[in-house]
Amino acid sequence: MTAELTIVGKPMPRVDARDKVTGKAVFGVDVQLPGMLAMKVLGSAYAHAEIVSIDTSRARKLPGVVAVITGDDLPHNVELNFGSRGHSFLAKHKAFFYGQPVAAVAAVDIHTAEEALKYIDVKYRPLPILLDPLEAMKPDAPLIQHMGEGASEMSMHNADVAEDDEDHTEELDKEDIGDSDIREAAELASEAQAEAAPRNVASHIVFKQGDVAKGFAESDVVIENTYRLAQVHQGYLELQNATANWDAVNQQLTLWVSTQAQFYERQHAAEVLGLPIHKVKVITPEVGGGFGAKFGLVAPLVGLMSMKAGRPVQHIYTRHEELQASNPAPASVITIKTGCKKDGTLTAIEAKVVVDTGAYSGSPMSIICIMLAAPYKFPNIFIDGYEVLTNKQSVAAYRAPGGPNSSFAIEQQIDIMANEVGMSALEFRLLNGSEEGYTRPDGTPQPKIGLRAVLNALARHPIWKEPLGPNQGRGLAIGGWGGGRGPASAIVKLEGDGTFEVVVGTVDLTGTNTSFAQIAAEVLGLPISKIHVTRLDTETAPFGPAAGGSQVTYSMGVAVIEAAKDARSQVLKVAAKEFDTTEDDIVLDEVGLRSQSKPDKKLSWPQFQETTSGWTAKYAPVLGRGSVERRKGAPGYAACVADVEVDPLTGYVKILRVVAAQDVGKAINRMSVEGQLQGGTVQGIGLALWEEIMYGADGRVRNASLLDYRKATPRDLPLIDAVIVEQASDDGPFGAKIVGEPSIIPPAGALANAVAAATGKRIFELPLTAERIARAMGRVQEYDAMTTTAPTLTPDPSPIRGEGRGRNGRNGHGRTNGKVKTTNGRASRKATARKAR
Amino acid sequence: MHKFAYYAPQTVKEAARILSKNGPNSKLLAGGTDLLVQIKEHVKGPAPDYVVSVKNIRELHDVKFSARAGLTIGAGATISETLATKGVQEHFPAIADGTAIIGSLQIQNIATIGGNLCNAAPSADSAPPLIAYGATALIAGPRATRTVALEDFFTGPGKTVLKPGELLVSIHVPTPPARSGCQYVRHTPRAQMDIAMVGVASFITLDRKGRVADARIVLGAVAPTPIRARQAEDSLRGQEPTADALRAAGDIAAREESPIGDVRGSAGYRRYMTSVLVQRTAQAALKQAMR
Repeated sequence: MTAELTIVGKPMPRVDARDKVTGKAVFGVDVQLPGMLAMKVLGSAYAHAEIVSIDTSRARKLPGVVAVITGDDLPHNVELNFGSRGHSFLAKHKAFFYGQPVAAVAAVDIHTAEEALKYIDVKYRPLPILLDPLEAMKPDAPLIQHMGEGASEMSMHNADVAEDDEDHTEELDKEDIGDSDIREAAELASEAQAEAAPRNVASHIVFKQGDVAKGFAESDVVIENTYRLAQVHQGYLELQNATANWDAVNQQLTLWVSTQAQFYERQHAAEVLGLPIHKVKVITPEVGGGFGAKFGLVAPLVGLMSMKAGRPVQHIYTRHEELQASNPAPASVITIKTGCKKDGTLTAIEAKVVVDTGAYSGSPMSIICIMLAAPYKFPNIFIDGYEVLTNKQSVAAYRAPGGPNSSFAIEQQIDIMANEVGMSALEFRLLNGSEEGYTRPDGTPQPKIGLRAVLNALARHPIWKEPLGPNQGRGLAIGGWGGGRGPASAIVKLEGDGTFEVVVGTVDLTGTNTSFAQIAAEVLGLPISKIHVTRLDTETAPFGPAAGGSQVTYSMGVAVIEAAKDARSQVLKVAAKEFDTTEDDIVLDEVGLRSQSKPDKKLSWPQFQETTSGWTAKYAPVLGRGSVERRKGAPGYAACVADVEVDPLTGYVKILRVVAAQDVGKAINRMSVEGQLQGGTVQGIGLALWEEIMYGADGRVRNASLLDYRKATPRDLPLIDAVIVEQASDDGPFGAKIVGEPSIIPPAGALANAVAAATGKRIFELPLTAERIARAMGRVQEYDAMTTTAPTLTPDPSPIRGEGRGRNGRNGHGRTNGKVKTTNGRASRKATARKAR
Repeated sequence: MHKFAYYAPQTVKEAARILSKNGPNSKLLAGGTDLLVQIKEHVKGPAPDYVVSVKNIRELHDVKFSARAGLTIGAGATISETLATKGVQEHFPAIADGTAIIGSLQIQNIATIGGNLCNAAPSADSAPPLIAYGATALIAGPRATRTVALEDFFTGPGKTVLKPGELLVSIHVPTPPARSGCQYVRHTPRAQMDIAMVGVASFITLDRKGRVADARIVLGAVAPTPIRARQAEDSLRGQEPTADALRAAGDIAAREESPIGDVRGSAGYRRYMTSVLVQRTAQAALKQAMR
């Protein structure tokens, strides 16, 4: 765009850094309103039950309690869709997961509200619990049936569980994975279902290209394995929270929400609360992380409570509630068969993807299916995807939703095949990596993706020359992400003090406001000190897309460019008139404007502002407007190389060094882009090595605290070397692509491949715990049957976890005799093995 | 949050009197890093009605060391205070092994070793090394004091020999004899801020010929309380401490425990890790002993 950039592309400390470090920044949990009540939620005591009755009379009588609400208080003017989590913010008739809100209390303080929960008497009729998606799909499995209000007994029996297609296509659209093939999938699905209709399937998609049977027949190597990922939590520091204030006179609801998307939040709250959209206003304070999880989970219930209580109400989740009853990222079981020729050319991929969506639809199942094959040139593709209901908290997005699920599976497959044909991990990926023009499984052609540029940049990295010692191994993995590309608008206006204000409606999660300041300064031709970025609320801000899909800088950046250009041209027009010269004779700088040809013609910025907005001003105020249609899409591709050392006895994985490379198109702010690459990698490492939400047979989370749900700590991590690759996009600001998400995708595959290189053993299930690795090395099994010789104080409580015994050592390499070797025990898997978790 | 009455006595006697007057529904508060979480989150049974702070009891905060008298750690001394006491790192490296890994630095600045012991988690990291060094516990009641070996202090998860009205005053650790060494290692998924899946302390004293004169092997998190692996110890006494002998001792120890399987790991893996860690800690203890 501009030949020489002076501000864009430079590392720039965040404009909000000082306020955040000094504690001045106001987050959602800091919001305090006069007369504000504290809210607590009573969660379902069962993972699956009919709610027979709820008696709140005793709780209401507790001094300090102002309001108690249940499903009966849901608005009557709204047709609630009980198959949607967004509509089910209070359970009615049935509860579908442990901890699902069945009642809520607002009281003068948090302790009173908590105390009041004890006095709410709920009678349940427990229903069978489904926790394993494979079990849930069996023909004799009980059904998880959502129902609308007043559903008759008959319609209950005939209810189709796949009633939430709406949310599903929304998800597709949100992440923009292309819109072809969904209808075709439905047709194929009905064929497949004719054979054996799996139960509890919320959605089903088939992606098909070419002829996989033919592809495998032409293969010299065919590998099949099953990969499992656990449900994991996004782990944002700031707990989910919202504050609501109902203005009964004006019938207007104001919400302060820790959200990624204030305009979505407004629309959703209005829809489920039965209010006109213009009667809902969302204010977004600073947000302490969202990573995909902060989209409408909390605000409706708090809004309803404020409407009932007639006072401001605040609700802040506990970490326990976060882990038991929020919206984490999905567990999945992916069985995948891939083939290649002796020369390494890929031939076919066939996969069955089962995504455990929890109690409501909304998982990124179709994205997982697409991203299994999209990074590679597979000529023949058959991917069969199932989104399956279970009695767990339902899932939502988590930074490149589903990306790690796909990558962990396909990247190990690729590694195994590369080994089999004697190619290096890098060579094999360079040979087969996708590029512009190749179609993805959903039929959309790849735009200008930078996968090869990333691999080529990595090839030059010194990490490959680092020697590896005994028990050490190196792993490579890649991953790509489509990302968002919504329409966007911004305003740039000249303020009285001669600074330019950039007004946006997007939430700044990652430093996007700093990037906007850089972009505006660059376009206006002014130093960054002359720019202020302000995010306004839904009533006052121009529309901005959700801070999801890594799109904020990519989509909004262009609106900021347009608005700044507009403002600049207005400034030049006024100045040219005032100085009686041409526009190209005008120079802008920190002090003000001047004419190059007439040295006496100059104005300071405040003087200039007087001419457009002062009492006697004659020119129009400078109000730059940028409003742009959605972008074409600029997927981000990333790669990760990890070196590990595995303790040969304990299985403990120590990470020695990590390189994270990503094509970002153009790094607007190198400092925050490096931070994004490192942050995503840290989260990718966390879900690879430690993170797993574990459920007991009753559906309760057994590790619902940060003691036993482990995120990475600084001492677990090496310095992560971020390698920024810049292959400009066609329509992003200054060539920028999406940035935030892709770096979380490859670490799990890279670490699994590194562990395999270090130990000679493949681990097919996340997290890669020391125990799993020690078991894969065959060291633990003889100790399982050991009995105690010494007298003990109390008898050994019955072991809860049969960990590993039924679950490990099942997977293995395929052999390369040109025929399929399935090393999985898909048929022999026992339900108890999964339940034992 | 559950409401409770709060006391801050000045002397051990006064504390014992308050405790015995209020009965079993009272709890002693030191650093509070376990107790406050238990009160707020209702874990480990009902929250107490009476909370008695030891903050104002001076004598509980002393940490003293002399080569002749050994180390005395007041029950109210913080982990950081203990670690900073002269002689601790040099003469009792395994105490440092076991306490410098408890929580974070901020936790160590407020949490006490006495609290870690009285909370009586089977995984308490301070217990195995202290037992391995042969520590004793001084206990005060309303009328008298008594001393018990620390290895006899624990009676079950969250349970100790302390009777209603009694409190832990101090821990005494004798200075190890010459040619001794001791190491504590725990296995955790993470490198810090974690809880032991298995913790092992091995104390070894060699005789002049380089045979094992004495061995104390203490296992944490693999039984209802920290336990001595006596059969494993016996297998080493009088023996050359060869790699084979240590491996055998590790496997014997693995049979002496009664681990549970839980979210942190299976029982089988705990036994296996015990075997590995007994070998590793005994090896390290030998190295120290031969210095």
